[in-house]
Amino acid sequence: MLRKLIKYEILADYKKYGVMFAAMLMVSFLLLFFDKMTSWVNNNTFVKLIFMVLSAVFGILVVLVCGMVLVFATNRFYKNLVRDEGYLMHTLPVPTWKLIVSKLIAVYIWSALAVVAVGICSGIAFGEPLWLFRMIEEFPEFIEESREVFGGKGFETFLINMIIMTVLSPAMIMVQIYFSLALGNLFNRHKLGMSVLMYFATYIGEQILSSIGMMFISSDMVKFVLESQNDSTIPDDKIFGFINETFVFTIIFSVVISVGYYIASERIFAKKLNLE
Amino acid sequence: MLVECKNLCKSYGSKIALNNINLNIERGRIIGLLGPNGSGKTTLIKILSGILTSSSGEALISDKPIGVETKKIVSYLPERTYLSEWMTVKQAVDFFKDFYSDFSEETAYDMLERLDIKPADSLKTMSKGTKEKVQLILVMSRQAELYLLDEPIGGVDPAARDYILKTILTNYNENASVVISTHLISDVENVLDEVIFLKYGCLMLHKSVDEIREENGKSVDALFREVFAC
Repeated sequence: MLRKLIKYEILADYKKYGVMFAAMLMVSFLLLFFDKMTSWVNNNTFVKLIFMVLSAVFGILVVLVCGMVLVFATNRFYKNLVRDEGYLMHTLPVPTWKLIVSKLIAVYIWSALAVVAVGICSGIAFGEPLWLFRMIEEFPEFIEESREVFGGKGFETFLINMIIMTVLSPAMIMVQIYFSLALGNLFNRHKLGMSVLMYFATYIGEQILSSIGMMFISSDMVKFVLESQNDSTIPDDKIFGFINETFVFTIIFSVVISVGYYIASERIFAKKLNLE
Repeated sequence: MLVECKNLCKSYGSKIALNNINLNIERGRIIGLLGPNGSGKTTLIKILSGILTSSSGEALISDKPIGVETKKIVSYLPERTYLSEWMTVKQAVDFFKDFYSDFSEETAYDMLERLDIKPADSLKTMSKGTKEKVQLILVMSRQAELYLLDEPIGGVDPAARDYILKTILTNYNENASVVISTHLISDVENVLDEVIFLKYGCLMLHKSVDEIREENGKSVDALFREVFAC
């Protein structure tokens, strides 16, 4: 059933993403064309102007594609589970967690496709279509070189933390939105407005808790900086050590909060569904 | 017993939507769920379909509490259009086929053809009435044990009403029951076996249509007007 739910998640939005990816691809080819044309017509001002405008449009499209994943996913969740379509979705013979997880998986699929699309289109625009794949291929070499520079100074842990954060981010962002929409659903009036309010309330609460945690984490570093103020540099291992401690705290904190958001959302939709 | 409600209550804040409902529904019956606006008809249907949870009391369908297992055997038609606008009729049929093992694709396409609704038609461009017809076809193309139909004929023209009622009558099996909530009593009266009257969330009456005619000497429509006179 989860696979079927994911299938319909993809079917629901593929046209919208298709239009955006196609627009980005078209602009990237135009950029490539005008880039070549600039050299053919000896830096003609008009051609250069078109190139600059297209570059700006391309930049906007890239931001739009990345941002739209969030907007489409939120809109999809709201329309499909909280609004009229919820009358169908919540009467399907599937447990509530599958409804939520299918949407989260769809977010990952669209995020991955958006990254690949942006990568390919950027490559086309700047004359190297396969740069993203080349980067992936050269990644081990980059790690090796970085290890030589920062070897034994916590760089690898830093990199692993970065990757974990990147991978978890879409789920963390989305479950907070889902939780806000679930809370908004409990109100009999102004559900969307209440959802927005709930989002800011949870965000502020999360920031307060996170700041309290960070105070404990950073106390050692602050102490070290104050004690070594006469030294000209702070050793790399100390910097990476501090960054890694911060990362680990942020990851653990975000995971705990996100799991909480997910469980609470699932319970609200399973036990307190209010489609009035 | 197909449906059992024991001391079922539902309130929204201080407003009581259902008040201590005790109700049994047998198999093989067509039941009219009748009452004025705000009497709790939709709330009762929503609880049985799993859209709402009761505040207290218990509801069982085929001896199971409301949940995934009951959703497999309940076919629910809400009063609003719930199909995604991005879908074509064919995709909506596929959706039902994918999620309900009791769904008959053949029955659905047969009914769609009779109503001249093309599988390739997009739901986005359809009128509200046509969308409601598609929904009803999908709901009635399941071989469910309990059909919960909330205002199934409210939004369609009188000519289509007859077809819809005929569809309901011919598509449910002897083992199943159909609960129809409606204000258009005279339109459905002839197909009903039983009626349930709700008022202010309370169960006022649960009788067979024959009993009403024999005991009260009135039609269901006339009795409704008497009981709920303003």
